[in-house]
Amino acid sequence: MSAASTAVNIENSVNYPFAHNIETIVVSMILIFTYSAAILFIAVIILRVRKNRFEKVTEALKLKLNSLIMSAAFASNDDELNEVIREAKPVFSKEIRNSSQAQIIINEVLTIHRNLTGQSKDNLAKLFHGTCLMAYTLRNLGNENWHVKASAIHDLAQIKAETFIPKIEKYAVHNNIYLQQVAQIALVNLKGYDGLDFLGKLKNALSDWQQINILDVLRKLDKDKAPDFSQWLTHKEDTIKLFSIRLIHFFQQSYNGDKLEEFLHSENRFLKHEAHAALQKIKPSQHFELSNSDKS
Amino acid sequence: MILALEIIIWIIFAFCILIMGGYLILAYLSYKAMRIYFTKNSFTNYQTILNSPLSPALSLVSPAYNESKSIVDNVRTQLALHYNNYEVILVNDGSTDDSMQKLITNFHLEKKDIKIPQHLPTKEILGVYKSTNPAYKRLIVIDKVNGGKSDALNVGINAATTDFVTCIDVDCVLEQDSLLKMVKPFLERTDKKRVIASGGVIRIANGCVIENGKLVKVEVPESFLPRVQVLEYIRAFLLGRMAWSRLDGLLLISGAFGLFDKDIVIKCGGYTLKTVSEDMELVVRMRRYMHENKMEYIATYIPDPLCWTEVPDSYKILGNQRSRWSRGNVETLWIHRKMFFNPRYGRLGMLSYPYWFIFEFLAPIIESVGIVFTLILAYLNLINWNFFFLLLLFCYTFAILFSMLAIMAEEESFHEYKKMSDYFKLIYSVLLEPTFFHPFITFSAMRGYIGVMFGKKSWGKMTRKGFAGKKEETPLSKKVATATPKPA
Repeated sequence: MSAASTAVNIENSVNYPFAHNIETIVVSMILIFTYSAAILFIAVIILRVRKNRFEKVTEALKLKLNSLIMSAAFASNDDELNEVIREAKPVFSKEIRNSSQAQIIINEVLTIHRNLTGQSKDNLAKLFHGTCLMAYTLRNLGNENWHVKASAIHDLAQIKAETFIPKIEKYAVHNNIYLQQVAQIALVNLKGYDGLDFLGKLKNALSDWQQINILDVLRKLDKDKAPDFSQWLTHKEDTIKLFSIRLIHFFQQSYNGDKLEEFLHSENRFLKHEAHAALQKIKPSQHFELSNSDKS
Repeated sequence: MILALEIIIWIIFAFCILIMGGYLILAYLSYKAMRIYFTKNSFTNYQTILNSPLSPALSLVSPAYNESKSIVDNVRTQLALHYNNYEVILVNDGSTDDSMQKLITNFHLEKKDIKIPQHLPTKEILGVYKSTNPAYKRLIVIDKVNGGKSDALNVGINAATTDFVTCIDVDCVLEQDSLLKMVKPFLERTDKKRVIASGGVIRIANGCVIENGKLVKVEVPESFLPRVQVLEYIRAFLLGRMAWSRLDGLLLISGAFGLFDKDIVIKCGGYTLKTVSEDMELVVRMRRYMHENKMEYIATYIPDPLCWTEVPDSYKILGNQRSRWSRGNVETLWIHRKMFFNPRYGRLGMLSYPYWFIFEFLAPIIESVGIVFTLILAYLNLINWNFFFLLLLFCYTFAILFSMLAIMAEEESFHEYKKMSDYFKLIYSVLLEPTFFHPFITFSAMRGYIGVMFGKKSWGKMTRKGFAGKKEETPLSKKVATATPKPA
């Protein structure tokens, strides 16, 4: 509205030197704005139609392949499973027309895989290995985009593809923090406690978020086989020390109590508080006091 | 005379171009920030936070004043959020209705002898209540003498036993996983930068179906005013704050739903009673505190729709609300005027504050001056009407384009409004907004500025009908709420 006030009589009684230039610019801008808005209007419609169609295709694809995936999962012996895999190979190849369709099928297999245990879980892993799904995942692993690569690492970990551990290991200390995180979780998933070896090589901080994710995987492992987590208490990076203290706390490694006591005098208040909380839990018979300034 | 006129005209025109350019830059930055956010979070499993012993404890603080109609349902909703380790602190700010009685009866509350620390000065606390029913063990209700929203929030912050406080409006409907999403930025921190605050997108609940405190169906409101505000909120949250977050210049986290580092909030003195825009003022003060103490920090923002609230559907209430917001803006800008183009405050002083001053504070004034100026020129017969309408069309088409960009961002990201009819309803609002809605908002903002000049301080009357029992056939648009969080 305010710009409209520039509409002074420019033609007759008064001479405005720049007014004609404004007029040309304004008309051009109006045309640009109008065309752009119109293009966006159509683009949104196309986007909506594509999204709706994609949802329908996804549902149809899931429905179509579900029985095949379930047949593989519940195959009673190797012969039956091999038969299903033979049947699945051309079907998967035919249905996968692009990378998003491949990902839909991969996700579907992984979702069912996650919810199963024992023989059925192994069967689905074999289905994954025996069809083009593994080839797609490996192709993604070689992709230049970090998120495509990360997606492949995530999928390989889910399907317990242990043979690809050497390929994943290098990403656990990668410069891209997000790729690094996915690889670290994948390694713990695939190697169990041994997957934590990357901690020794890590040079950057380990966020609370990442600690939560790693612990989430570790919690599912046999507690009795847990290594001595104090090995990372001397790490240069404070967040890794913090994670070690938390692991000692969570896994109740009371034999590391003396090492934790040293942290009660740490300059890092997070380490101090975490050590205090851990000691109270793993050495309940002893009393550990924080100074008043530390409490605040 | 004519030369002077032309200089004024050019200044106003340049201001328009500046605003348009600023908006387009913000839109571009938002788009990039959202893409990064979605890529980053494509592997996120929020359930790990839910189950983890390492998840931080949170305190939900909700101030309530005469919320009798909805308070029980809203507290139930808050108690049923997906998070393991949190407490709900409801502060009854001296309600004159039967809010307190309803809480006592429905949640089996019992007055306890609990001393609330006075980190922040507040009005007198009349009682602290906890439930005798273990099912409500998370709930703490504090009854206090009326002192306003800020005072009630400060009481809640004092009472919080955790390191993080979430301040929410009691009438808002939160997404079940909202706390999981909101806390993630705090967990991603390393020792270098401290996350002091996190905010999420507020969406409009008018027209949506809410059952048992949960949002079950999202639709565009039928009536014009809430519908236009849907557009306004999408624009502000998806195309504005996301960009400011990326630029590390976020000045506002809505009072409706924000998560804060309690330690910093207390060190800053908590919510101020000096302004009606206490949410913005707190964020600015926290950031200023961090700068002045040379502490590395970030204030983050996530684009997920986490909180749904109702907006006014009458011109009177909307006008009062916008008038109050503009008063709040002026008050906050005045309190922190020291930061204006002050390099000591980095981007906050050199970019965010000036932007807010020029685009948010000055815009209604310049627009109003422009209208008055046009009327004077028209009276003096100095207007070339062809050119006048050309410039009007210039502004109008830009407004349409910018709104279309916002709709595109919504479609590409969350696609909340599934029905094609919803899309056309929004387009209808896009076309009408610049001609009907925007002038009204400008007028209301000017009323706010005049209110500041005359020392007006009040919040205005606030009445609610509540979400409970609303079905598909009964849109929520009847509810009246003047305390809706601001989108700007």
